[in-house]
Amino acid sequence: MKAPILTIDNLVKSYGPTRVLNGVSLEVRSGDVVGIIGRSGCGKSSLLRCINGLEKIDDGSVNLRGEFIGRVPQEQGRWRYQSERELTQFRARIGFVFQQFNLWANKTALDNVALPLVRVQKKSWAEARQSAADMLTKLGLGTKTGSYPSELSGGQQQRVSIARALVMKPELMLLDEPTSALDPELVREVLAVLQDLVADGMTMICVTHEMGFIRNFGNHLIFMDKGKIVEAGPPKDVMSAPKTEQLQSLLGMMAH
Amino acid sequence: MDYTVVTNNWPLFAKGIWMTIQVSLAAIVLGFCIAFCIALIRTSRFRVLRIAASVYVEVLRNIPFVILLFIFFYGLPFAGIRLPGQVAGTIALSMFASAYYGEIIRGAMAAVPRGQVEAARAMGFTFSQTLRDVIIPQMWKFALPPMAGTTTMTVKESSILSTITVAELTYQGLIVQGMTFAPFEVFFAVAGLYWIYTAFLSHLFKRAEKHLGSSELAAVYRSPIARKYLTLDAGRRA
Repeated sequence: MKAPILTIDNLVKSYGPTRVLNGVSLEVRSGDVVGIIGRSGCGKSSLLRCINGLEKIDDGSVNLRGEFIGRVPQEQGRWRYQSERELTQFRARIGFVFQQFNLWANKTALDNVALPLVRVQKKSWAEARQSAADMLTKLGLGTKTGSYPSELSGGQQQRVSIARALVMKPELMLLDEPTSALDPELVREVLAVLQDLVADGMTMICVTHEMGFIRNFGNHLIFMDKGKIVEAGPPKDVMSAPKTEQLQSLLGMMAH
Repeated sequence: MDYTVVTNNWPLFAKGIWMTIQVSLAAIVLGFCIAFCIALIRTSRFRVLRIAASVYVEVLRNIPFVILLFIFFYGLPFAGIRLPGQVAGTIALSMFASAYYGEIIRGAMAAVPRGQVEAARAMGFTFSQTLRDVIIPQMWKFALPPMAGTTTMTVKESSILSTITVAELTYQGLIVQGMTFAPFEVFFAVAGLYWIYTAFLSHLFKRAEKHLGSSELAAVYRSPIARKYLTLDAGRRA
């Protein structure tokens, strides 16, 4: 068995008095495709946001290939929080795809993908635009490079945002409900791209309601409730034999 | 009406409007720079800095400009700092403008969609990169329309510098009026010169608005729905 590339240990996160993550532990190995399901407010988005340091962790730790993200243990059980600047290097290694795409409205599709290469990886514009064009072509957007986000459909925008994350050659992709903001007929084109990623061996953690995708392509499914992992295991087992009432009712709702 | 009052004294009017242009442009540029810093400080992590910046804005917005000017011109000499009227006036006017610009810039930065800022963070951008690539290019469409108003106000308030002997347009107008006893002619001319100047500045802002919003506007015009409904207008533009 391969060693985990991402280890989350007893993660705790609160917003004011509300505890959204209440001791989450998780190990992700290279090539794993982890699906996370749960009702809204169960902490699944917060978990992703803690992994790349978008949110400050209150307790516990996140570790990527031996390096702590966000909160680093010191001597005598003390912890040190990393600065935004320290966090940027980890974020550059982790791809993030948002539910609402969040493309930069003032940049073309090509420059949305090229800009992180120029700014974060310090590549030249010519080189970055070449890589960006190749990546967009690979995702079937070769004719849309000059379009602004407002000229693209939701599905196209989400594919550009996936390209923007992929072009950085991330060690891990975090996807926060990548298809939830899309019309049903557009969901398929995004899922097709994600399936290609799985085939390429990309390590992914994906918050989603697309049970079919997780069942067929995921190798680990997590059900979260009230800031905790309630059930976990191979997707087919978890789906076919839910142990808790909460998961039974959630699966029941998604089936109908 | 005796137009000769104006034509005979045109060098004084010219000197006056030139001084008005100098002090107001300096105040607009300087005020904008201060305002930009104030807006950034107001998003700082440090509470003390944030509070200091909002106190600066609130105080300046809630006192009459003439009082601020008197503090600089009459007050500072007692603290051992004696500034020429033109310098004291420009500094006071810059601070006054910065309080208003500061609020506008802060609001405009906050109006840039949060998700886009977050996406930049998630990609590993530093704050200054996010500012440069995402926030600043997109804040102008929110900032420019209200900035045009504040700029006009700054020009108009510069007339108060006449009270501390800065020889700007209003001051020269008072001089000519004293020599000729023709207040109507003199102050209509002064008003006309102010109007030409502020109208020109407003025009510049409109141009800038069109230019800085252009890539997005162009995208809107090229979108399928716009093509369907704006064919007439698009034809005229083409």
